[in-house]
Amino acid sequence: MIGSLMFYGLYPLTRFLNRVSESLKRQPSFVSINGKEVWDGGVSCRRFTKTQTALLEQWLSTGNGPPNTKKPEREAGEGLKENATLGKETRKEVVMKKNTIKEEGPEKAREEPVFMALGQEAEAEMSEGNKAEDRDVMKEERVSDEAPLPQDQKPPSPHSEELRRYVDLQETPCNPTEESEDVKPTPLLTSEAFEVQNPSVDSGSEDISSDDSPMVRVMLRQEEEMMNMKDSLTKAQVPKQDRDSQVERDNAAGLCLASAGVEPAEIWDTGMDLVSLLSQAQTEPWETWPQAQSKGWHFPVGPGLEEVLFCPSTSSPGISYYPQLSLEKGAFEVVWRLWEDLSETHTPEKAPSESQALFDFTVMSYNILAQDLLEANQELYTHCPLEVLSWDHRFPNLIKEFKKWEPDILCLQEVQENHFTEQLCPALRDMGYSCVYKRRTGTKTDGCAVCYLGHRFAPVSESLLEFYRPDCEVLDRDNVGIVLLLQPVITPGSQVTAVSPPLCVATTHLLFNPRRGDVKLAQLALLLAEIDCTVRNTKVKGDPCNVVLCGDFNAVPNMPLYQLITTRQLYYHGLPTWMISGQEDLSYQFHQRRVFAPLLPNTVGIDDHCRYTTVIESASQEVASTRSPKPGNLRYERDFLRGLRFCEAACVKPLDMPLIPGVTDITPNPNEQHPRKSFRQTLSHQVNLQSAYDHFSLGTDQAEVTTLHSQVGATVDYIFYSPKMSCSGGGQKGGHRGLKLLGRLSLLSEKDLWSMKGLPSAIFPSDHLSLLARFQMG
Amino acid sequence: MNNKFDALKDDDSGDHDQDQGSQKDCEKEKNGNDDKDQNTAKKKIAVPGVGEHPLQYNYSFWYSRRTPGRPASTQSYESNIRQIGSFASVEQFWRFYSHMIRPGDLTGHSDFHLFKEGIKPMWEDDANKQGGKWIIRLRKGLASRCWENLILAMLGEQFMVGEEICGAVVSVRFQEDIISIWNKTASDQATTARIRDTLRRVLNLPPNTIMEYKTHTDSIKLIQNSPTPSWSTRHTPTALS
Repeated sequence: MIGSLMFYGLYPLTRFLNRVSESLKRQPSFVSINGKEVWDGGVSCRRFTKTQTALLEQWLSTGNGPPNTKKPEREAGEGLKENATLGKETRKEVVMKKNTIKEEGPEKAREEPVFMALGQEAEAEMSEGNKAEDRDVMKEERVSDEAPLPQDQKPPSPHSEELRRYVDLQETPCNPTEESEDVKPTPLLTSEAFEVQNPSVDSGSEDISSDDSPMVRVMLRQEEEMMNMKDSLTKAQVPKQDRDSQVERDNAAGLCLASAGVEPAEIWDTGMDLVSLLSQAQTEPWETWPQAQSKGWHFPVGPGLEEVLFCPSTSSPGISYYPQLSLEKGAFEVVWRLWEDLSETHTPEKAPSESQALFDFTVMSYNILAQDLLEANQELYTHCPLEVLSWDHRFPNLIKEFKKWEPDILCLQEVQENHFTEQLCPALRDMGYSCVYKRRTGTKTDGCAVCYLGHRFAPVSESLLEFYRPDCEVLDRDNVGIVLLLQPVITPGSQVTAVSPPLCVATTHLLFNPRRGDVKLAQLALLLAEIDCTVRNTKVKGDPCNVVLCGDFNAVPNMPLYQLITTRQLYYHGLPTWMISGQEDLSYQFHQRRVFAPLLPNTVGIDDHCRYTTVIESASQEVASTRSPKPGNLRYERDFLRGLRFCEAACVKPLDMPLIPGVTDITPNPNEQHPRKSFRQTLSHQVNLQSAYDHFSLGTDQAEVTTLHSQVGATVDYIFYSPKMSCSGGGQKGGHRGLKLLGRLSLLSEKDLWSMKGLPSAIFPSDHLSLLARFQMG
Repeated sequence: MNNKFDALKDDDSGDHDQDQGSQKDCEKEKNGNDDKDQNTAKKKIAVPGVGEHPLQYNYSFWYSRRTPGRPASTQSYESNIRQIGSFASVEQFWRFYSHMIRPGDLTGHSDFHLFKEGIKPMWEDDANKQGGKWIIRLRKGLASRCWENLILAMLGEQFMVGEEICGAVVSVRFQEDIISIWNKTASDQATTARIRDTLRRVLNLPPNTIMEYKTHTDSIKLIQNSPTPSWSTRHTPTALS
């Protein structure tokens, strides 16, 4: 913060005017943008502070300590770099004068060719991206898991994995000397999108004193990361016994050599160019974008644009779209997100189902961020370079992600209708998926989709739910849900002999509004009722089905809405509506809307057990009949017990009951005589569900997030599944019941994501992460 | 309120341990001193009625209330607690429960106990000797709902720990209410962990609720080390921590 204040304080007005005129000459259409961008820098910084502080506090409070109060120093350092010492260093740097920068400059610059070389390799690698390689990656990841990683360098260490991987997968050794030839900032920016010409020294020397400081910070950061990379690289290499290990070592050595063999004089020349480079960097990317991407849509000139251009980070205006992007492109997702194998008996990746007579399948849940919503809420994505926000960029990345994991079932949210019909559906159909789509009601253009591989599942039934009910106050929103019943397909010739029970797949995207938990609750009740009905129908046919419920619930873990799903009941009466989802703490608000019983009027046709009122009678009959003849283990669910509360036999006072005034002289409350008929203060359901994710990174106390944008990062997406019952109780027959979680694709912490510049990014096409889990049935 | 206190004084003065077996004195409890505490073996065992839903185990309701300013010993603890009745089926349970005040509406320093028939709600009982309990402190206003959920889970065999569960207690105190569930073997960590997890699930507790496990031997030690054993200190560990 101090640094940025100094920065803007020192910024000479002449420089500003100079910049404007420069831009005018070079790129007339962006003049005003650039001009404003420079001048309004302070605004965006302040904004950064505000949002970032909230994020930071949240992040810090995931530890043991109490939520941190605002510490500007820390936040400046951590917000972007997660490295307080580095932050301090950089601030010091700003205060220091030119000669220090002279020293620092070369060090920084010498790292750049490495980045560049890696970036190119990465791109080459990703463009091939065939399956065999993916397997290799998985292998690599496991190895890297075991490799000791420096504890205090957590954020950078994954870089090292990445680095290692690139080197590893490379067929021909890279040519570091070649890269080191042109050690200038230019190669730093070399990528299709960010091609920047070698800047000419057209700015006066007085500019340097002001302009080079942010540049130095950029470079410092790179250096730090690079150092860490090398550090962990060497460590990670040791346990590796791959065929490529020799190559890898050679390459690493070569890279080090390349970075070391840079002549300081040459570097300093480029250092002198920093000023002009900076000004270039702020304009060129816009200019050099492919036409299709920039023309599809654009931000109007205004605060949103300023902030995009003027990256909301303390350290440097240029950093948001600065060089490293070329390195990250298309690679992080693979490396940062590890597959967590949760099956005790480690089954190999290939053909687990065939060999074990069990049915394995994977489910992905993914909120892909509808383009219309993105454009309507641009303030959430000010940290992103414009190009990663364009649908033309995001769509191929989405498809790439689907192809990479090839989930058997794909549940999507925020699927824009025209994108679905014109692009997604055809692409998915080509991949062998059958798709079911439901657009949100009203004027909304997006909706949910469930796609499943036709050779793995056959459709049994499908219901498309609309949560909008004109006659109900809490059901006045346009959200939808899909409930499918799928029959696993037994491939002819395989050894899967047992007929697997059907699978109920449900997905939804509940209302976002953090203040209206009551609406979310009501919507969820509708969805649960449909699932309950589907499950019940299959049970009648004799085969209890398994359930997978996934989607974007717009509620954070362990808050009431989540509890209703996992604990099957919730006492909601009197809860503040914001608390139900827990997305934001609005407890400070003077007036708090609360939810009161009954949540739903009778006209909706759903009771407080999240069941359709029409099937209640038969259902309770069924429960009673399965319970009573079992003498071995007399288990009763709470709701069943409560159902007998005012039965005839229970209303007679026991003769032997002593009369203790004030204690045993109560007569049953006549108001509660007909509990079934009215909607009570507790909401419950019968679907046994458990989250496939733990919401914390494996083995740490770092909270995972499934969504992240400039205002908030949180877990709001889930894959819930009906787990295998440890005991045979509950009256259900057969050993079919329940799914076993075999593994899942790890999520990332907010910190990790911010270190990759948040979401969406060049790698992650949405502001949500995909959730992926593998289950076993049978 | 006055006559309530009077009645309780009568309770304390020796009319205790009403039980299922002594049906005759339910109306005229003040004379009903014929049944002494030790005669559990003689008691008639509750059986489920025709068409009723039998429970896995029979249970007994107990009620205790602290008498202010009265020095106490184990004997007086025993004499302060009285059995309300035993039941063997869901319907019989509701018969008792529906005619009892909800714990949240209790006044003063009092407790409801629901224990398996044959187990006394005392540390000294054979079933409890090696045992311990999970304790959850609740702010005022939650006791009734939590107690009901707790005992319904216990009666419905939701804890899935075999015969480990002994009983449950709700203790009404001045500023807070406490619910606890007792099990037989305090050293069995798998069991206590499972009980804790089930508690979380069935009670629908806020995520920040603190749960504490305490062995009865610890509770007893606390009493023995206390300089002036009194009813309140003796009883406090049972209910307060």
